[in-house]
Amino acid sequence: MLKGLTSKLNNWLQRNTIVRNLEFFQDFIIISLCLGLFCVMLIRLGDMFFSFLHPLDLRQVTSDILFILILVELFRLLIDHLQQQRTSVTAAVEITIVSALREVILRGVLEISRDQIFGIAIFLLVLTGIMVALPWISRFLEQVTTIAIFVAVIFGQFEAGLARPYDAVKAVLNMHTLLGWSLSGIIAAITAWRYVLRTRNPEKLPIHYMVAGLFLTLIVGLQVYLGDELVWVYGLHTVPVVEALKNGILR
Amino acid sequence: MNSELIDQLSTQLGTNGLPYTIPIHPNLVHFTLGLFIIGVTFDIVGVLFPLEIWVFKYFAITVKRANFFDVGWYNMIASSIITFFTVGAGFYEMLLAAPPTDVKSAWGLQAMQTMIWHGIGGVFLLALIVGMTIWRGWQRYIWDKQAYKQTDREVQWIYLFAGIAIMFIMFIHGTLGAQLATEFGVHNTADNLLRLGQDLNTTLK
Repeated sequence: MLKGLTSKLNNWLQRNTIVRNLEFFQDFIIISLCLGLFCVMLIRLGDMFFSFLHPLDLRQVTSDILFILILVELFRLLIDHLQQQRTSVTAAVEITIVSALREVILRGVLEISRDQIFGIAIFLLVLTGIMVALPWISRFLEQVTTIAIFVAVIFGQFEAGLARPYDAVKAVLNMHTLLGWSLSGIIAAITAWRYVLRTRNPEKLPIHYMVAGLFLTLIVGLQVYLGDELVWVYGLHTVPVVEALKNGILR
Repeated sequence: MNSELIDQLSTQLGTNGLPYTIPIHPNLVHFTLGLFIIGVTFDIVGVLFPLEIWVFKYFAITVKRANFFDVGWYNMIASSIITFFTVGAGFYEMLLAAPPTDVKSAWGLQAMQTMIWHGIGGVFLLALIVGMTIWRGWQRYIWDKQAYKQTDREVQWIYLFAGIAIMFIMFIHGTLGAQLATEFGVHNTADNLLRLGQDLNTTLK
Protein backbone atom coordinates (compact mmCIF):
# COMPACT_ATOMS: atom_id res chain seq x y z
CA MET A 1 0.00 0.00 0.00
CA LEU A 2 2.70 2.42 1.15
CA LYS A 3 5.00 1.13 -1.58
CA GLY A 4 2.36 1.77 -4.23
CA LEU A 5 1.87 5.25 -2.90
CA THR A 6 5.59 6.12 -2.99
CA SER A 7 6.01 4.78 -6.53
CA LYS A 8 3.00 6.82 -7.61
CA LEU A 9 4.53 9.87 -5.97
CA ASN A 10 7.82 9.12 -7.71
CA ASN A 11 6.11 8.90 -11.07
CA TRP A 12 4.38 12.15 -10.47
CA LEU A 13 7.62 13.83 -9.45
CA GLN A 14 9.35 12.64 -12.57
CA ARG A 15 6.58 13.92 -14.76
CA ASN A 16 6.85 17.19 -12.94
CA THR A 17 10.56 17.41 -13.72
CA ILE A 18 9.94 16.66 -17.36
CA VAL A 19 7.32 19.35 -17.58
CA ARG A 20 9.59 21.79 -15.80
CA ASN A 21 12.43 21.06 -18.22
CA LEU A 22 10.16 21.49 -21.21
CA GLU A 23 8.90 24.78 -19.81
CA PHE A 24 12.47 25.87 -19.26
CA PHE A 25 13.27 25.29 -22.94
CA GLN A 26 10.08 27.05 -23.93
CA ASP A 27 11.11 30.04 -21.84
CA PHE A 28 14.53 29.93 -23.39
CA ILE A 29 13.03 30.11 -26.88
CA ILE A 30 10.80 33.00 -25.89
CA ILE A 31 13.69 34.87 -24.30
CA SER A 32 15.73 34.53 -27.47
CA LEU A 33 12.72 35.76 -29.45
CA CYS A 34 12.59 38.76 -27.11
CA LEU A 35 16.26 39.48 -27.71
CA GLY A 36 15.79 39.17 -31.47
CA LEU A 37 12.85 41.55 -31.38
CA PHE A 38 14.91 43.98 -29.33
CA CYS A 39 17.63 44.02 -31.97
CA VAL A 40 15.09 44.51 -34.77
CA MET A 41 13.54 47.41 -32.89
CA LEU A 42 16.91 49.08 -32.36
CA ILE A 43 17.78 48.69 -36.05
CA ARG A 44 14.43 50.11 -37.14
CA LEU A 45 14.84 52.99 -34.71
CA GLY A 46 18.27 53.75 -36.13
CA ASP A 47 16.86 53.61 -39.67
CA MET A 48 14.13 56.00 -38.69
CA PHE A 49 16.52 58.57 -37.23
CA PHE A 50 18.63 58.39 -40.38
CA SER A 51 15.53 58.94 -42.49
CA PHE A 52 15.03 62.26 -40.66
CA LEU A 53 18.18 63.50 -42.38
CA HIS A 54 16.51 63.23 -45.75
CA PRO A 55 13.53 65.39 -46.72
CA LEU A 56 10.75 64.27 -44.44
CA ASP A 57 8.23 61.80 -45.84
CA LEU A 58 5.54 62.08 -43.20
CA ARG A 59 3.68 58.96 -44.25
CA GLN A 60 6.82 56.84 -44.17
CA VAL A 61 7.75 58.13 -40.71
CA THR A 62 4.25 57.49 -39.36
CA SER A 63 4.29 53.98 -40.67
CA ASP A 64 7.78 53.43 -39.21
CA ILE A 65 6.58 54.58 -35.82
CA LEU A 66 3.56 52.30 -36.05
CA PHE A 67 5.82 49.43 -37.07
CA ILE A 68 7.94 49.97 -33.96
CA LEU A 69 4.74 50.12 -31.92
CA ILE A 70 3.71 46.77 -33.40
CA LEU A 71 7.07 45.35 -32.41
CA VAL A 72 6.63 46.75 -28.89
CA GLU A 73 3.22 45.09 -28.71
CA LEU A 74 4.70 41.79 -29.91
CA PHE A 75 7.32 42.22 -27.19
CA ARG A 76 4.58 42.67 -24.63
CA LEU A 77 2.91 39.54 -25.95
CA LEU A 78 6.08 37.58 -25.32
CA ILE A 79 6.49 39.11 -21.84
CA ASP A 80 2.89 38.18 -21.06
CA HIS A 81 3.66 34.69 -22.21
CA LEU A 82 6.71 34.52 -19.94
CA GLN A 83 4.78 35.75 -16.93
CA GLN A 84 1.51 33.90 -17.34
CA GLN A 85 2.67 30.91 -19.35
CA ARG A 86 -0.01 31.48 -21.93
CA THR A 87 -0.57 33.77 -24.86
CA SER A 88 -2.91 36.70 -24.49
CA VAL A 89 -5.33 36.67 -27.39
CA THR A 90 -6.47 40.24 -26.78
CA ALA A 91 -2.92 41.48 -27.25
CA ALA A 92 -2.64 39.50 -30.49
CA VAL A 93 -5.90 41.01 -31.78
CA GLU A 94 -4.69 44.50 -30.86
CA ILE A 95 -1.47 43.91 -32.78
CA THR A 96 -3.42 42.74 -35.82
CA ILE A 97 -5.63 45.83 -35.70
CA VAL A 98 -2.63 48.15 -35.44
CA SER A 99 -0.83 46.41 -38.30
CA ALA A 100 -3.91 46.60 -40.52
CA LEU A 101 -4.19 50.32 -39.75
CA ARG A 102 -0.49 50.73 -40.51
CA GLU A 103 -1.08 49.33 -43.98
CA VAL A 104 -3.89 51.83 -44.46
CA ILE A 105 -1.73 54.77 -43.32
CA LEU A 106 1.21 53.60 -45.42
CA ARG A 107 -0.86 53.82 -48.58
CA GLY A 108 -3.20 56.65 -47.66
CA VAL A 109 -6.92 56.18 -47.22
CA LEU A 110 -7.81 58.12 -50.35
CA GLU A 111 -5.58 56.01 -52.57
CA ILE A 112 -7.06 52.68 -51.57
CA SER A 113 -9.80 51.40 -53.85
CA ARG A 114 -13.35 51.20 -52.59
CA ASP A 115 -13.33 47.38 -52.58
CA GLN A 116 -10.25 47.24 -50.41
CA ILE A 117 -11.57 49.79 -47.95
CA PHE A 118 -14.69 47.67 -47.73
CA GLY A 119 -12.57 44.58 -47.09
CA ILE A 120 -10.48 46.30 -44.42
CA ALA A 121 -13.64 47.54 -42.77
CA ILE A 122 -15.05 44.01 -42.59
CA PHE A 123 -11.74 42.73 -41.32
CA LEU A 124 -11.56 45.35 -38.55
CA LEU A 125 -15.20 44.71 -37.67
CA VAL A 126 -14.50 41.01 -37.30
CA LEU A 127 -11.46 41.69 -35.14
CA THR A 128 -13.46 44.02 -32.91
CA GLY A 129 -16.19 41.42 -32.72
CA ILE A 130 -13.66 38.84 -31.65
CA MET A 131 -12.24 41.17 -29.01
CA VAL A 132 -15.69 41.81 -27.61
CA ALA A 133 -16.83 38.22 -27.85
CA LEU A 134 -13.60 36.73 -26.56
CA PRO A 135 -14.56 36.12 -22.94
CA TRP A 136 -17.75 34.54 -24.22
CA ILE A 137 -16.08 32.41 -26.88
CA SER A 138 -13.28 31.21 -24.66
CA ARG A 139 -15.79 29.21 -22.73
CA PHE A 140 -16.28 27.06 -25.82
CA LEU A 141 -13.06 27.21 -27.76
CA GLU A 142 -9.50 26.51 -26.84
CA GLN A 143 -7.50 29.71 -26.80
CA VAL A 144 -4.80 27.95 -28.74
CA THR A 145 -6.93 27.74 -31.88
CA THR A 146 -7.67 31.43 -31.84
CA ILE A 147 -4.06 32.32 -31.26
CA ALA A 148 -3.01 30.05 -34.12
CA ILE A 149 -5.31 31.99 -36.46
CA PHE A 150 -3.87 35.32 -35.39
CA VAL A 151 -0.29 34.22 -35.58
CA ALA A 152 -1.14 32.96 -39.08
CA VAL A 153 -2.65 36.34 -39.94
CA ILE A 154 0.38 38.27 -38.63
CA PHE A 155 2.78 36.05 -40.53
CA GLY A 156 0.48 36.15 -43.54
CA GLN A 157 1.11 39.90 -43.58
CA PHE A 158 4.85 39.38 -43.80
CA GLU A 159 4.54 36.58 -46.33
CA ALA A 160 2.13 38.46 -48.59
CA GLY A 161 5.12 40.69 -49.31
CA LEU A 162 7.06 37.66 -50.54
CA ALA A 163 4.62 36.72 -53.30
CA ARG A 164 5.60 38.27 -56.64
CA PRO A 165 2.45 38.99 -58.60
CA TYR A 166 2.72 41.40 -61.51
CA ASP A 167 1.40 44.93 -61.19
CA ALA A 168 -1.98 44.50 -62.85
CA VAL A 169 -2.98 41.69 -60.45
CA LYS A 170 -2.21 43.46 -57.21
CA ALA A 171 -5.60 45.08 -56.58
CA VAL A 172 -7.57 41.85 -57.05
CA LEU A 173 -5.01 39.80 -55.14
CA ASN A 174 -5.08 42.18 -52.16
CA MET A 175 -8.85 42.09 -52.06
CA HIS A 176 -8.84 38.29 -52.28
CA THR A 177 -6.29 38.05 -49.46
CA LEU A 178 -8.12 40.49 -47.22
CA LEU A 179 -11.45 38.81 -47.78
CA GLY A 180 -9.79 35.47 -47.06
CA TRP A 181 -8.62 36.67 -43.66
CA SER A 182 -12.01 38.08 -42.86
CA LEU A 183 -13.72 34.87 -43.94
CA SER A 184 -11.60 32.80 -41.57
CA GLY A 185 -12.89 34.95 -38.74
CA ILE A 186 -16.48 35.12 -39.96
CA ILE A 187 -16.72 31.37 -40.54
CA ALA A 188 -15.25 30.61 -37.11
CA ALA A 189 -17.76 32.98 -35.51
CA ILE A 190 -20.72 31.52 -37.42
CA THR A 191 -19.61 27.99 -36.52
CA ALA A 192 -19.49 28.93 -32.85
CA TRP A 193 -22.93 30.50 -33.15
CA ARG A 194 -24.29 27.41 -34.90
CA TYR A 195 -22.84 25.27 -32.15
CA VAL A 196 -24.56 27.28 -29.46
CA LEU A 197 -27.86 27.18 -31.38
CA ARG A 198 -27.60 23.44 -31.84
CA THR A 199 -26.78 22.84 -28.20
CA ARG A 200 -29.85 24.81 -27.19
CA ASN A 201 -32.24 23.26 -29.70
CA PRO A 202 -31.18 21.10 -32.65
CA GLU A 203 -34.61 21.42 -34.29
CA LYS A 204 -34.82 25.18 -34.72
CA LEU A 205 -32.88 27.93 -36.49
CA PRO A 206 -33.68 31.60 -35.85
CA ILE A 207 -34.15 33.92 -38.81
CA HIS A 208 -31.08 35.99 -37.79
CA TYR A 209 -28.90 32.98 -38.33
CA MET A 210 -30.36 32.38 -41.76
CA VAL A 211 -29.75 36.01 -42.74
CA ALA A 212 -26.17 35.80 -41.50
CA GLY A 213 -25.75 32.58 -43.47
CA LEU A 214 -27.04 34.26 -46.60
CA PHE A 215 -24.63 37.14 -46.05
CA LEU A 216 -21.77 34.67 -45.60
CA THR A 217 -22.79 32.91 -48.82
CA LEU A 218 -22.67 36.21 -50.68
CA ILE A 219 -19.19 36.98 -49.36
CA VAL A 220 -18.01 33.48 -50.28
CA GLY A 221 -19.47 33.99 -53.76
CA LEU A 222 -17.55 37.26 -54.10
CA GLN A 223 -14.39 35.53 -52.88
CA VAL A 224 -14.84 32.73 -55.44
CA TYR A 225 -15.32 35.32 -58.19
CA LEU A 226 -12.12 37.10 -57.19
CA GLY A 227 -10.22 33.81 -57.08
CA ASP A 228 -11.61 32.96 -60.53
CA GLU A 229 -10.38 36.29 -61.84
CA LEU A 230 -6.92 35.63 -60.43
CA VAL A 231 -6.69 32.31 -62.26
CA TRP A 232 -8.72 32.78 -65.43
CA VAL A 233 -8.12 36.43 -66.25
CA TYR A 234 -4.72 37.08 -64.70
CA GLY A 235 -3.45 33.51 -65.09
CA LEU A 236 -1.75 33.31 -61.69
CA HIS A 237 0.06 29.99 -61.21
CA THR A 238 -0.48 28.98 -64.85
CA VAL A 239 2.70 27.89 -66.59
CA PRO A 240 2.83 30.60 -69.30
CA VAL A 241 2.48 33.43 -66.75
CA VAL A 242 4.95 31.85 -64.31
CA GLU A 243 7.46 31.44 -67.16
CA ALA A 244 6.94 35.03 -68.28
CA LEU A 245 7.55 36.24 -64.72
CA LYS A 246 10.67 34.10 -64.43
CA ASN A 247 12.07 35.35 -67.74
CA GLY A 248 11.42 38.96 -66.77
CA ILE A 249 8.97 39.54 -69.65
CA LEU A 250 6.35 40.36 -67.03
CA ARG A 251 6.79 42.44 -63.90
CA MET B 1 -11.26 22.02 -81.93
CA ASN B 2 -10.40 23.21 -85.44
CA SER B 3 -9.37 26.85 -85.20
CA GLU B 4 -10.95 27.79 -88.55
CA LEU B 5 -14.29 26.52 -87.31
CA ILE B 6 -13.91 28.47 -84.08
CA ASP B 7 -13.06 31.55 -86.13
CA GLN B 8 -16.61 31.48 -87.52
CA LEU B 9 -17.69 32.64 -84.08
CA SER B 10 -14.77 34.99 -83.51
CA THR B 11 -16.88 38.14 -83.30
CA GLN B 12 -18.67 36.80 -80.24
CA LEU B 13 -15.66 35.43 -78.41
CA GLY B 14 -13.30 37.25 -76.03
CA THR B 15 -9.54 36.88 -75.67
CA ASN B 16 -10.00 33.72 -73.66
CA GLY B 17 -11.96 32.06 -76.49
CA LEU B 18 -15.28 32.17 -74.66
CA PRO B 19 -18.23 34.57 -74.83
CA TYR B 20 -17.71 35.26 -71.09
CA THR B 21 -14.57 35.98 -69.04
CA ILE B 22 -14.70 33.18 -66.47
CA PRO B 23 -15.16 29.57 -67.61
CA ILE B 24 -18.17 27.83 -66.04
CA HIS B 25 -16.98 24.23 -66.03
CA PRO B 26 -14.07 24.71 -63.56
CA ASN B 27 -16.50 26.32 -61.12
CA LEU B 28 -19.23 23.71 -61.39
CA VAL B 29 -16.73 20.92 -61.03
CA HIS B 30 -16.01 22.01 -57.48
CA PHE B 31 -19.65 21.38 -56.64
CA THR B 32 -19.49 17.92 -58.17
CA LEU B 33 -16.34 17.08 -56.23
CA GLY B 34 -17.37 18.69 -52.98
CA LEU B 35 -20.85 17.22 -52.87
CA PHE B 36 -19.63 13.74 -53.80
CA ILE B 37 -16.79 13.75 -51.29
CA ILE B 38 -18.97 15.14 -48.49
CA GLY B 39 -21.66 12.57 -49.37
CA VAL B 40 -19.31 9.61 -49.10
CA THR B 41 -17.45 11.04 -46.09
CA PHE B 42 -20.62 11.52 -44.08
CA ASP B 43 -21.69 7.97 -44.90
CA ILE B 44 -18.31 6.79 -43.61
CA VAL B 45 -18.78 8.84 -40.44
CA GLY B 46 -22.28 7.34 -40.11
CA VAL B 47 -21.03 3.78 -40.54
CA LEU B 48 -18.24 4.30 -38.02
CA PHE B 49 -20.65 6.04 -35.64
CA PRO B 50 -20.29 3.58 -32.73
CA LEU B 51 -16.57 4.40 -32.57
CA GLU B 52 -17.17 8.14 -32.50
CA ILE B 53 -19.85 8.48 -29.86
CA TRP B 54 -17.33 9.58 -27.23
CA VAL B 55 -16.14 12.46 -29.46
CA PHE B 56 -19.64 13.85 -29.85
CA LYS B 57 -20.26 13.38 -26.15
CA TYR B 58 -17.03 15.16 -25.30
CA PHE B 59 -17.97 18.19 -27.42
CA ALA B 60 -21.57 18.01 -26.24
CA ILE B 61 -22.85 17.69 -29.80
CA THR B 62 -26.31 16.20 -29.91
CA VAL B 63 -26.49 13.96 -32.94
CA LYS B 64 -28.24 10.84 -34.16
CA ARG B 65 -26.74 8.25 -36.46
CA ALA B 66 -29.47 8.82 -39.04
CA ASN B 67 -28.41 12.49 -39.36
CA PHE B 68 -25.16 11.47 -41.02
CA PHE B 69 -26.90 9.16 -43.47
CA ASP B 70 -29.29 11.98 -44.38
CA VAL B 71 -26.34 14.22 -45.21
CA GLY B 72 -24.75 11.42 -47.26
CA TRP B 73 -27.89 10.80 -49.27
CA TYR B 74 -28.86 14.40 -50.07
CA ASN B 75 -25.31 15.36 -51.01
CA MET B 76 -25.18 12.40 -53.38
CA ILE B 77 -28.41 13.47 -55.11
CA ALA B 78 -27.18 17.05 -55.41
CA SER B 79 -23.88 15.83 -56.78
CA SER B 80 -25.48 13.81 -59.54
CA ILE B 81 -27.83 16.65 -60.51
CA ILE B 82 -25.08 19.27 -60.72
CA THR B 83 -22.75 16.90 -62.59
CA PHE B 84 -25.02 16.94 -65.66
CA PHE B 85 -24.44 20.69 -65.85
CA THR B 86 -20.72 20.24 -65.17
CA VAL B 87 -20.37 17.82 -68.08
CA GLY B 88 -22.54 19.97 -70.34
CA ALA B 89 -20.52 23.12 -69.64
CA GLY B 90 -17.33 21.10 -70.03
CA PHE B 91 -18.24 19.92 -73.52
CA TYR B 92 -19.32 23.40 -74.62
CA GLU B 93 -16.04 24.88 -73.42
CA MET B 94 -14.02 22.04 -74.92
CA LEU B 95 -15.63 22.71 -78.33
CA LEU B 96 -14.31 26.25 -78.16
CA ALA B 97 -10.87 25.33 -76.79
CA ALA B 98 -7.84 26.19 -78.93
CA PRO B 99 -4.82 25.01 -76.93
CA PRO B 100 -1.26 25.37 -78.28
CA THR B 101 -0.12 22.39 -80.36
CA ASP B 102 3.55 22.48 -79.36
CA VAL B 103 3.18 21.94 -75.60
CA LYS B 104 3.37 18.68 -73.67
CA SER B 105 1.99 18.32 -70.17
CA ALA B 106 3.86 17.00 -67.13
CA TRP B 107 2.37 13.59 -67.93
CA GLY B 108 3.83 13.69 -71.46
CA LEU B 109 0.43 14.16 -73.13
CA GLN B 110 -0.38 16.69 -75.81
CA ALA B 111 -3.38 18.97 -75.63
CA MET B 112 -5.71 16.83 -77.79
CA GLN B 113 -4.89 13.63 -75.89
CA THR B 114 -5.48 15.38 -72.58
CA MET B 115 -8.80 16.81 -73.80
CA ILE B 116 -10.01 13.46 -75.16
CA TRP B 117 -9.14 11.64 -71.94
CA HIS B 118 -10.69 14.37 -69.83
CA GLY B 119 -13.84 14.38 -71.99
CA ILE B 120 -14.34 10.62 -72.03
CA GLY B 121 -13.45 10.38 -68.35
CA GLY B 122 -16.06 13.03 -67.63
CA VAL B 123 -18.88 11.06 -69.23
CA PHE B 124 -17.64 7.91 -67.51
CA LEU B 125 -17.57 9.67 -64.11
CA LEU B 126 -21.04 11.10 -64.71
CA ALA B 127 -22.30 7.54 -65.23
CA LEU B 128 -20.50 6.38 -62.08
CA ILE B 129 -21.90 9.22 -59.98
CA VAL B 130 -25.47 8.64 -61.18
CA GLY B 131 -25.01 4.91 -60.61
CA MET B 132 -23.76 5.55 -57.09
CA THR B 133 -26.77 7.79 -56.40
CA ILE B 134 -29.19 5.10 -57.58
CA TRP B 135 -27.33 2.52 -55.49
CA ARG B 136 -27.45 4.85 -52.47
CA GLY B 137 -31.19 5.38 -52.98
CA TRP B 138 -31.76 1.64 -53.19
CA GLN B 139 -29.85 1.16 -49.93
CA ARG B 140 -31.80 3.94 -48.24
CA TYR B 141 -35.31 2.98 -49.31
CA ILE B 142 -35.18 -0.77 -49.98
CA TRP B 143 -32.13 -2.43 -48.43
CA ASP B 144 -32.43 -0.48 -45.18
CA LYS B 145 -36.14 -1.26 -44.80
CA GLN B 146 -35.83 -5.04 -44.94
CA ALA B 147 -37.72 -6.68 -42.10
CA TYR B 148 -34.86 -8.95 -40.98
CA LYS B 149 -32.11 -6.30 -41.02
CA GLN B 150 -30.40 -6.20 -37.62
CA THR B 151 -28.51 -2.88 -37.53
CA ASP B 152 -29.39 0.75 -38.12
CA ARG B 153 -26.45 1.05 -40.52
CA GLU B 154 -27.93 2.47 -43.71
CA VAL B 155 -25.14 1.83 -46.23
CA GLN B 156 -23.10 -1.16 -47.27
CA TRP B 157 -19.35 -1.31 -46.78
CA ILE B 158 -18.80 -2.09 -50.47
CA TYR B 159 -20.55 1.18 -51.35
CA LEU B 160 -18.07 3.13 -49.26
CA PHE B 161 -15.11 1.39 -50.90
CA ALA B 162 -16.59 2.09 -54.34
CA GLY B 163 -16.97 5.74 -53.28
CA ILE B 164 -13.32 5.97 -52.24
CA ALA B 165 -12.21 4.31 -55.51
CA ILE B 166 -14.25 6.85 -57.49
CA MET B 167 -12.66 9.68 -55.54
CA PHE B 168 -9.28 8.34 -56.66
CA ILE B 169 -10.42 8.31 -60.31
CA MET B 170 -11.71 11.86 -59.81
CA PHE B 171 -8.31 12.90 -58.53
CA ILE B 172 -6.54 11.64 -61.66
CA HIS B 173 -9.26 13.01 -63.90
CA GLY B 174 -9.14 16.37 -62.15
CA THR B 175 -5.38 16.53 -62.61
CA LEU B 176 -5.91 16.19 -66.37
CA GLY B 177 -8.37 19.07 -66.25
CA ALA B 178 -5.99 21.15 -64.16
CA GLN B 179 -3.26 20.53 -66.72
CA LEU B 180 -5.55 21.83 -69.45
CA ALA B 181 -5.95 25.01 -67.44
CA THR B 182 -2.47 25.62 -66.04
CA GLU B 183 -0.15 24.05 -68.60
CA PHE B 184 -2.06 24.51 -71.86
CA GLY B 185 -3.72 27.71 -70.66
CA VAL B 186 -7.09 26.81 -72.19
CA HIS B 187 -9.56 29.72 -71.90
CA ASN B 188 -7.11 31.74 -69.83
CA THR B 189 -7.09 35.43 -70.74
CA ALA B 190 -3.58 36.16 -69.50
CA ASP B 191 -2.07 33.09 -71.19
CA ASN B 192 -3.71 33.92 -74.52
CA LEU B 193 -2.51 37.51 -74.32
CA LEU B 194 1.02 36.31 -73.58
CA ARG B 195 0.85 33.99 -76.57
CA LEU B 196 -0.11 37.01 -78.69
CA GLY B 197 2.99 38.73 -77.31
CA GLN B 198 1.15 41.45 -75.39
CA ASP B 199 2.12 43.11 -72.13
CA LEU B 200 -0.33 42.06 -69.42
CA ASN B 201 0.25 45.16 -67.30
CA THR B 202 -1.10 47.41 -70.05
CA THR B 203 -3.80 45.18 -71.57
CA LEU B 204 -5.34 43.94 -68.30
CA LYS B 205 -5.57 47.34 -66.59
